[in-house]
Amino acid sequence: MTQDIPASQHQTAPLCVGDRLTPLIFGPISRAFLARYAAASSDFNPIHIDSDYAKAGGHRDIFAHGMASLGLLSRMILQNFPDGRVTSLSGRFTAITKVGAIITLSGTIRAIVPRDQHLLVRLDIQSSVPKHQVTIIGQAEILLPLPIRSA
Amino acid sequence: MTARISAQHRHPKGLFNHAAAGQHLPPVALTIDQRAIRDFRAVLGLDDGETAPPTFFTFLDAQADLVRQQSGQPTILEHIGCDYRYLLHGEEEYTGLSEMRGGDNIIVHSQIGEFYFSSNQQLEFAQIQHSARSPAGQALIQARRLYIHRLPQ
Repeated sequence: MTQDIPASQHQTAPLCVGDRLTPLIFGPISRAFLARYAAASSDFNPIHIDSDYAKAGGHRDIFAHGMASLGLLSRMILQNFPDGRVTSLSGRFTAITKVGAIITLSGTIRAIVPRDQHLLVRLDIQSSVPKHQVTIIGQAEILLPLPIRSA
Repeated sequence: MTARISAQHRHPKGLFNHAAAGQHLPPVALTIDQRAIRDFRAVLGLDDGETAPPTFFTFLDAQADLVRQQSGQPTILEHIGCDYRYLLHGEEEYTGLSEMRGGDNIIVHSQIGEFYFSSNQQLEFAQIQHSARSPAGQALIQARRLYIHRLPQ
């Protein structure tokens, strides 16, 4: 069994518990992007690509696939740790992302756990749109080979 | 687009087919397409690496549904009676992620979990669990997907 190391005990510079990852700013979300994401993911739910259908469901317009934002969160993580491998990723969807929105993908190191010749870094992650509206709150784990090479 | 399910199976207060709770779907064997990985990575802006990104399982889930459709079986969302007009993602969880690459053979197992409502009865939830294994039985990923109907008032 592994155990999280409190911030005061771990010696894994340059990483520290509480460090913020370099955020990824993505967008504005376009209809073309949603069509491309639908094709690449095979998620053809018309609520994301057909305005008439979205309006019939009570929405003002189409909105982005939530899974696109979760996928972009994984990109943000991998851009911060190019040698790492994401071993878990989860998110709770709290708001939709409208067409035209600019998404900010961000993360903070919650824990660092030594594991064999690696470090397992636990992250709190978040996706948000302008006016600080959070669209996803989640967690992730990434396994990093030692020595660490940050982006 | 409303998934095929007769009205008699709908929950009286909701839209999902609550009778599907606990149902195991037949496993589906897939071979991962390297081009699909490349396209998925590209749309997210990832470099042109060979490994499947963490959320690539959503594509595999869709592919498994395609196999079901082609063999005359209902898709998962048809099993649970989803109405796309009101459908939202609630939560997504991917754990035990192993590296998957083009050409890998996998077997997708899926089970329909529980259905429930928010306390104000305005949201209806459906939970689906998946796992993917190699033909030798090695666990490659476990996924939990929570779907929501935002119920028309």
